[in-house]
Amino acid sequence: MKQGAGFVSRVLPQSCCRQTASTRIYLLLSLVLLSHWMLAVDAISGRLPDVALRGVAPADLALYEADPLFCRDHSRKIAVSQLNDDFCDCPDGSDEPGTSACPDGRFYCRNKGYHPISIFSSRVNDGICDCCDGSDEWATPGACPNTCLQAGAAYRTQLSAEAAAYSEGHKVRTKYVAKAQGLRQQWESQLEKAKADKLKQEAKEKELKARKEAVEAAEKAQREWREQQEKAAKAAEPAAPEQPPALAPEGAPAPPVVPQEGGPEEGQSEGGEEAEAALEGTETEGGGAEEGEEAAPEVPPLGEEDAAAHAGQLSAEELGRRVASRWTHNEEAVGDVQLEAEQKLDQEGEDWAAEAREEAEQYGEVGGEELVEEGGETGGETGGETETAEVPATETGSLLASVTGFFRRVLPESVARLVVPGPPPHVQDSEVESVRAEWNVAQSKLTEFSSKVTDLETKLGRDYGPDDVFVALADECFEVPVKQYKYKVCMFGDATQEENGQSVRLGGWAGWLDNYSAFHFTNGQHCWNGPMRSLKVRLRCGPKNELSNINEPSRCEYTADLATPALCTDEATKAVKEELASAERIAKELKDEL
Amino acid sequence: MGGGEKVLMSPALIGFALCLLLSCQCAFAVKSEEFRKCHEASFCRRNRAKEPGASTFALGGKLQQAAGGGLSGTVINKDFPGVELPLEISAYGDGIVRVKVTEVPEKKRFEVPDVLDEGLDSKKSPIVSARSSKDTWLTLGGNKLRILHDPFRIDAFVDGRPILSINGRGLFNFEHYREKPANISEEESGTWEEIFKSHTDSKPKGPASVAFDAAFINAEQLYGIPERATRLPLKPTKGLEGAESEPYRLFNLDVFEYVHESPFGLYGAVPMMMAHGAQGTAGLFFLNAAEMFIDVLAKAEHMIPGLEDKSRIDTHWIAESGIFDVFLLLGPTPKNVVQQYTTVTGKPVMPQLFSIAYHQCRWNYKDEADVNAVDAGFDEHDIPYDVLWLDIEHTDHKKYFTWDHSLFPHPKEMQNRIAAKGRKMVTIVDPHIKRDSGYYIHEEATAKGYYVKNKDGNDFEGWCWPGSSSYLDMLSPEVRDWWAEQYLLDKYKESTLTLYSWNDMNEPSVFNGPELTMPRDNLHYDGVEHRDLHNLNGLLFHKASVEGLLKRGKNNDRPFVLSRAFFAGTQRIGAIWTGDNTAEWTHLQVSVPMLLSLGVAGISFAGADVGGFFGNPEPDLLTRWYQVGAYYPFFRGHAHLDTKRREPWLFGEPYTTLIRDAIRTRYALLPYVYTVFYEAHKTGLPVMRPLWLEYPDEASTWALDESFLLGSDILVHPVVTKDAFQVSAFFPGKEPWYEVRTGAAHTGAAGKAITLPVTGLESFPAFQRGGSIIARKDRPRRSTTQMANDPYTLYIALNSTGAAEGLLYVDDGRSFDYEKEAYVLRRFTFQNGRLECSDAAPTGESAKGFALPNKIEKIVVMGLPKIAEKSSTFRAVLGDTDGKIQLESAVEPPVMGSGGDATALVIKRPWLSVAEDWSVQIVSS
Repeated sequence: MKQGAGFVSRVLPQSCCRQTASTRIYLLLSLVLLSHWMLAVDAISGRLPDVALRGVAPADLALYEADPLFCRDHSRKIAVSQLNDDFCDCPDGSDEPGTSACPDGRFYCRNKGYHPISIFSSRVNDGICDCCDGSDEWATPGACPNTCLQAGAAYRTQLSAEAAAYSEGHKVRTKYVAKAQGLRQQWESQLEKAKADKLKQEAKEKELKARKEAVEAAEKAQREWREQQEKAAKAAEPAAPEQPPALAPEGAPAPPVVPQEGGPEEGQSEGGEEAEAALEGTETEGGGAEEGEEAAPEVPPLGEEDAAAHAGQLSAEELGRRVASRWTHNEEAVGDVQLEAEQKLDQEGEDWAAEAREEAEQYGEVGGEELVEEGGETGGETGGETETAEVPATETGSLLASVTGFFRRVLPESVARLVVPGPPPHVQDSEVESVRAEWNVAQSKLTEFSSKVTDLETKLGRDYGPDDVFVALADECFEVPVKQYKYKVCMFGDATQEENGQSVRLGGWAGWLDNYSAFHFTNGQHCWNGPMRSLKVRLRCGPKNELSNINEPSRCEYTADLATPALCTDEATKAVKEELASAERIAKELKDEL
Repeated sequence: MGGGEKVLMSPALIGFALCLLLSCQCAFAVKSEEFRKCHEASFCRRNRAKEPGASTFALGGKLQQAAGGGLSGTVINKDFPGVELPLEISAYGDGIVRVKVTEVPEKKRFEVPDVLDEGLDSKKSPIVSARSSKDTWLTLGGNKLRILHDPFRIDAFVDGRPILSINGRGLFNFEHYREKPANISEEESGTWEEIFKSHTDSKPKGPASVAFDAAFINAEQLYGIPERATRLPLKPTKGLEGAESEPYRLFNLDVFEYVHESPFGLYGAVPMMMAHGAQGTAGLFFLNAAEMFIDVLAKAEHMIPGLEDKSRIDTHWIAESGIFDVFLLLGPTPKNVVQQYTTVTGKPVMPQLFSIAYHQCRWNYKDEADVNAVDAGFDEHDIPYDVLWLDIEHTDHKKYFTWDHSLFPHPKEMQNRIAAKGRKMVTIVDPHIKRDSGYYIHEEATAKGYYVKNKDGNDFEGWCWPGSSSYLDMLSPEVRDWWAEQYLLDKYKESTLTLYSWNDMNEPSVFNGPELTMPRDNLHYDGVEHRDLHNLNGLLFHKASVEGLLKRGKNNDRPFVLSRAFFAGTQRIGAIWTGDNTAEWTHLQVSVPMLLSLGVAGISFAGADVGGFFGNPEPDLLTRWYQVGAYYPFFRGHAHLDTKRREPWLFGEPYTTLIRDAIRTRYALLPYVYTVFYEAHKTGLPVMRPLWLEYPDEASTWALDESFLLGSDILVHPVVTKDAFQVSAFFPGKEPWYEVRTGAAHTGAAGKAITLPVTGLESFPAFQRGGSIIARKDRPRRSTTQMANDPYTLYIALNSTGAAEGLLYVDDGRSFDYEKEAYVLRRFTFQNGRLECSDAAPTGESAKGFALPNKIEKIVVMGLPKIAEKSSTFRAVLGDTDGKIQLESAVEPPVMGSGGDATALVIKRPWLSVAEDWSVQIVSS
């Protein structure tokens, strides 16, 4: 977990203990003073016994030199004999810097040869070596051998590798910054041009539109005339049925449209959220099952509350799987997929299990709104039948999966019938056709120019961080394979998780975090019983752009690390170098001493 | 919102909206459908419909002295001449009577094994009987039992008072096994075959129910028969004004998202009930592991001859099969009843010290990096914890005893890394075995014929986490032995001695079975039907796993296995938890009565998932849950796979600090909690107690189940509501209770509760009893291991006479050496200003092979008279009044920095040894 976070909290060599980030800052600051304070401690040990000063940080020496002595918070006066006497006298723990007597105190270890750290006093004499110099286990001498030399060496090796990486990254970053300026100018001129193109195209489109409308008007008049003729002829014949039964696009139940590949439209996904919200409500409140059944008698009741009731209609395995999915919200996750495949009844059934989750999810996102809305709109005309389409909205997740599976298995014919558009208007006049085609081309070109303008404006309006450095990465995507998945993070775009060509959106760009040390993507595809997917990417300096450490600490909330030269700033690079220099100086001094 | 307004409301949507409005009832309704109700079970329907009146059952002849002590005879059913049911009556001391009615051995009625304490038989005592023409009187010390001959009836008397009557209403029923009639259509439906939902129960043995009525004379409250998410006092289920309720049901099930205030049985069952009233307490334990329904009547119906003038609470117990095997527990106090009950079913385990500390669990810590990060998180935030848990995802495709090596490539190193900090790990081992030809457990179990069989005698296949699964037949001692061996280090690959276990889903949960469990006509060892032992199933599996850890530890490492399913006697085996609760305030609330009810039924070592398993707790709820959980006997945070991360430090301040404080409070109290566990182990008394258990004479405590006691000395009035600014607090007894942080004293207000302010999230009312002395270890550490040598602080809370007393039990915290006297039991007494530390171990039974080096760093005395007055001075001297060695002391708040008033005398740096005898005299002037 430490790898992720930049300069201050790099991983320490394994030989040493873990420390909090704040400890690290503290120790880095004091590092510079290291050689001086060692002398200082020796010098003052005259007045106070060594034991009294055990665990005291050099910065705090003045506090303990004072006469009379007070707790750090000045809450009470203490005697010298009360220092480190293994009894807590100060509420702030300051009288026991070297023992475990106070609950929230700190113990400072010198770690000569490595670097000093400050540990919780709960670690003092607890039988675990926390300081590489072993000073925290003073009650059992010899229990913790001094490993600071090794720790220091490892630390220096690590620091020099780091310093090299920083130098390299820093060079790249300089290029990024330079590139940023050029790119910005380029975008600006592109914008100028796009704006001009757009203006021109607008005029052209307008003109073509006028022409198209003129010819269409002429065509319409011609058609109306022809229709009147036909009507007159028909009036002579006996009455025909009002509506042919085979075609009922307006009155028929709203079809659960099979979602198309690709991202859902804005409005649709909003509707999806609504449907999801309703589902969640059902689940926590546990309602609606009976109503759902009543209202939709035609739908085989596959809801979880009926799992047992209708087990006869399911294979035992299917039933088990569905019940399990209450806990997992994922029918695939339960049981061995391989095994399942072997046992599966028929091709349809096999597909169903594998598809259920995705399908249902897509319905949740895409289909939900259509189901509810269209059902609602047409409800007045078709009564009971319409509610078939509403069932998913009132049932729990696994039911939704079942129902959508059901639709796929049972309804494809009618669905196909309903979604097939009517025959295109039969155009006879070649002039109408060509004008219309010309206008279509002009229109789509105009759209193209407009979006180019919008894109460039967006691009130029973005926050690219300090020194505009991320301009250089504006169009970059980073990928990393993890097991069967490929994770892809596009700067200022989308983050996705791909598996066998199927892409799941983890979220769209949602901006910077933590002072440009991270960015995140939100509102990705919804998770069953979980949140919308999201991804947080933590940044650190590295010689090249490299995505790593994809993780999902909570369900559908992803994290990742991105090493990037963009983070190798002057200051950070300088600090690493200084730290290395200082570590080397300490090592040299120690060597000289010996 | 994309066009939501346009939607016309269909009936379905309106129904849904209504449901949201009436969420509670709706949830209830939906859940209730899944479970078989009394009227859907022919055995219950038949018995519940019986009208009270004359019983057809009578004593068959004279009661004879039986060979092993006790009496024997027969019970006959006048409707079926020729059927003679053997009767046995045994007594175990004065307070326990067992009445057993079964069938002749050839009929092979199932008798529940592995529940009664091994030593029970040896406690059998002789019974003196006196017979008249209509009844036989048995004398048991001061208590008496009257057996009426016709109809068969049993009345129990304590000190001449009737307290319990069996078959007073004539509902006793014992359906003997009989031949299947040629034409079953003439029989009531459901007797020879029964269908629930789509599942058909073949019922080859036909109807075999066992039922009886029990009247608790002069009782005013009933408790017990866990597990269900309800209040502690049992509400009536029959004879209510208005709607009839379902009877209580005991049938272990994996209940998905259970709701609070639901009478349905959950994961475990203890058919033990306690009745309490002003005149005393009595208990009843029905040793029967079949599905059981129990009615509690709102008012007595039908006069019981000879007891007409007595008020009483009637109950009706109906089991599907098995035998009539009832233990009457005669009290007369609630503590006596619990002790009697645990004499019958065994005393609770003595847990390892680490297992009563804090446990961190989640479904799932995903991989080794995750485990390391969580472990490091506790250290970085200086929050102690002892055990890190791995749920099902750590296995290779849910094959227990295996590892998913893509996530856990180095399990041993991981365990050792955690163990290096003195901590432990737990992995889950569930009872469903994946039917996978490459899985050694499955291979071996199949080859050896160890699986439970279906009605046709083939290995039963059900569906659970791994997919198609079979279930080991733990009724067979051979299978249990074999299972136990699977825990050995050479069998359980890459396990270590610091790895402990967790048995989930052992009801058993079968996703495609009736009510999510095993078909009743499945067959176990020796042809026993699953229906006969269902409620015992979890205990058998739990026991086999515990035997495994015993074997692994060469019988000298106390096993720790957490189980979800349980039965009477589980307290002898290990810990349980209350299953899959939800991150809601109502579930935090109900966790207290649930655990109290378990404790009353002998099962002490229990806890609820802190934070709630399903859903995401808001930080306030999580914090409050930790504050309550710190006083649960078993203290574990757990969360569902779909929930957000909720490790204690993830919510920022003030939450991290408050949760840290809560966990540290538990750790500081561990010496006391361990001592209470020792008391439970010795006496059977629960660790977490309802107030009436300690104060049975105070009627105001009888219905209290929000507050509780930890042992007898800590009273908790938990805050279990959002944004609470006050709690209603009842202080039992006449002695003061001292708020543990501030030392502020409260005394009971004549049977009335008082209102205590709750000033913020940090305010959590817990009190120490006036008259008690509690030893704490106030230094925070990483885990219990590092606390071993830390000094104690004594908190002395004086009663109104200025006296106090307390015990401290210490042993090595892990082995069974304490059974060989390797422990220390110290008594602290305070009287007339004098504190004494002395040996409390029974003579000749102390500290062999166990040295306790710890010192006392501080002694805090609360409740000294006139301590707050400026003019008074106090000093403490070692030894007698004329002792020369003066100890440093000051009048201060009892807890430094707590903001309390300076009302305690704090003796500093006495550095007295706990293991030695000494005294300290406080001199005031």
